Amino acid sequence: MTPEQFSKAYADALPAVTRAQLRAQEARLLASQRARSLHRTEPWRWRAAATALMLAALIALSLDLASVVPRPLDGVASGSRELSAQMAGRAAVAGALLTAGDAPTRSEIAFSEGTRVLLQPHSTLRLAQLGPERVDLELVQGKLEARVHKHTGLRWTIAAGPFAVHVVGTEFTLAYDAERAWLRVEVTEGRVRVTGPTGITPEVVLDPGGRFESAESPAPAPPPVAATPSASQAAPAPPLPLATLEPQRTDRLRTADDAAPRKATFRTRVAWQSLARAGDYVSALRVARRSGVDEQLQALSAQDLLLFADSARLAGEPELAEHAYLALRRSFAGSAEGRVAAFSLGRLAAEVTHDEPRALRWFEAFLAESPVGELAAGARARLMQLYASSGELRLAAAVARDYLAHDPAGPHAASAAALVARAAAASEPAP
Amino acid sequence: MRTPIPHLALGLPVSSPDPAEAGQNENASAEDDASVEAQGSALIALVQQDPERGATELFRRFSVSVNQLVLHITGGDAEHDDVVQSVFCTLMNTIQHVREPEKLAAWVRAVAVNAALQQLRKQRFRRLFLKRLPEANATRSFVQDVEARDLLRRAHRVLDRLPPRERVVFVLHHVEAQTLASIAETCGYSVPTAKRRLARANRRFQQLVEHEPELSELVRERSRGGKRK
Repeated sequence: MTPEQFSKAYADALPAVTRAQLRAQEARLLASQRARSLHRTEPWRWRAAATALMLAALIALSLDLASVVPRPLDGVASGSRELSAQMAGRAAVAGALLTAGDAPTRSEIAFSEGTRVLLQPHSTLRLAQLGPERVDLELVQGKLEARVHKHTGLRWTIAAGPFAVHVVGTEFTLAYDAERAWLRVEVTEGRVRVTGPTGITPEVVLDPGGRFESAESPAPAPPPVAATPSASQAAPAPPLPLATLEPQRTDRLRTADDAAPRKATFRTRVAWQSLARAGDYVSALRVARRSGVDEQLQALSAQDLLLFADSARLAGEPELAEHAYLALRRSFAGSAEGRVAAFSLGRLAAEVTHDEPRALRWFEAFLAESPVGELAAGARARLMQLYASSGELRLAAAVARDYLAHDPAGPHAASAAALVARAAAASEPAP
Repeated sequence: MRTPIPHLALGLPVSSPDPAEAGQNENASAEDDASVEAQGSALIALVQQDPERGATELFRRFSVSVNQLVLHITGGDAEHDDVVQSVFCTLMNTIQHVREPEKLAAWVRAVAVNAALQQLRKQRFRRLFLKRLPEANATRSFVQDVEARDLLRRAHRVLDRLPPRERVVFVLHHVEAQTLASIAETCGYSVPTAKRRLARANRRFQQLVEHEPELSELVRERSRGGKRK
């Protein structure tokens, strides 16, 4: 991805400043100017304005405090406190299986107490229980984004296969693939607790910005109960018996073949992989070392090994990074991660250890394995630069021609063309 | 209902790649230097004689570009309106020091960039002590496109790791499409310094995005017209 592509997508995704926002800004600016002129000309008026401002602040504070006090559910008598949900303007009852179709827009499920859940296309959600004290949902398949209303006293649990996400009052995204028994939770605001396949331990508490991704199950998980037959039906489905959630999870628990290994993987992945993915490479490395990962690199998967090596490189430990990249090359020769490791080794040699011959070898090895792809242009650009700086103009020009052939509009196209021209001029016989 | 202003649909670059043209966006008759100078002088005089009317005029003329610039640099910070307010307060308090009225637009840009830079530093400082910052407006609106929010969240994760000065240069060059000469003028650097900072920012950006494969995928998806796989 080039900075230009990134910038365009970034600018497109940013929200628009609205007329209302501009009007508010202008009013605020004018108010500040008026306050300044009052202050300059008539101090007593300024004092009156300050008093009014303080009063307004006190009123705002009291209103704010009032909003923190738990309120009864909206539109529900405090005696009954029954919760209701709606999808596309139609009421959904407990037990209903709600399926978002293939339309590009997300389906919104609105709960009467203010919680909103956006269901992505091709996703299925079951309203297992809508009780006065707890709400149980089950993400059968797909992805949802939820903003759970705070201070209602309700306990929210969203189950996804063998996992359960316990919510206090928060905003988060949940993705679940039933075939792989794979779960990803990303918390934007508030706090959630994720419990694993055992239902009790290990558990993970995620704070804002926190992310949990489960290991993929080696064998496909059993299909979710009652999901398949009605998955294609339009919502809402006929009411199903309440609380089908717990038995399903218990059934999974009893298939004890994968319980122990999955438990171990669960804990390890949360420990350092999450930190590494969040960009905290130093902490990731520290946690990985504590659990002895650096001494058992051969036990890691190709993805984890690459993640570990990248973390070491970005945490400023080039020796450890090189060791891990080489381990990756040895253990997973021919894999995509192994090819990336060759590129990273070249970059380490070029930028950190300044071992140019070694960098040349690795970049050439990388290009031999991956002549096309995202990193190939970068490898050619570096090769070009390395050859040119070591005086090998002919080789540099050959790589430059290769670069232009593969990526004529690339960021280094101008340098490559200049290099080719320079080499051609140098090879012409003197008059 | 919030109505977006068409010319403020912030995906579209308002600033022109050419710094001379960038001035034209601010002043309708920028081709005529004398006219630009006269407009600048008139605005400065108005602000000094009648601050209220001057503030209104100043805001109407520059609010679009200031909002856009601050939004691009800080990424829809939760304190966006405060930053914009501080920009206009600074402009109002210091406009009498402007010696070259024809460069009023460039001066406004410089003040906006400086305020955005201060905001980035403040955010960075807060991150040292707070586990979480108030979330950006960009991701607060629940009804907004989920994919866009996802992309912004990941994009901020990358941009937040760029040092503030490098981030400013990166955004000015790639998002605002400003030339190095224009960036140097806006930020008060020499052109070689701007060039060096941009190269460093690009390098760091490439390193960071390599560890955000999902961001690359989202960007590719959006550049293909937002088609889902």
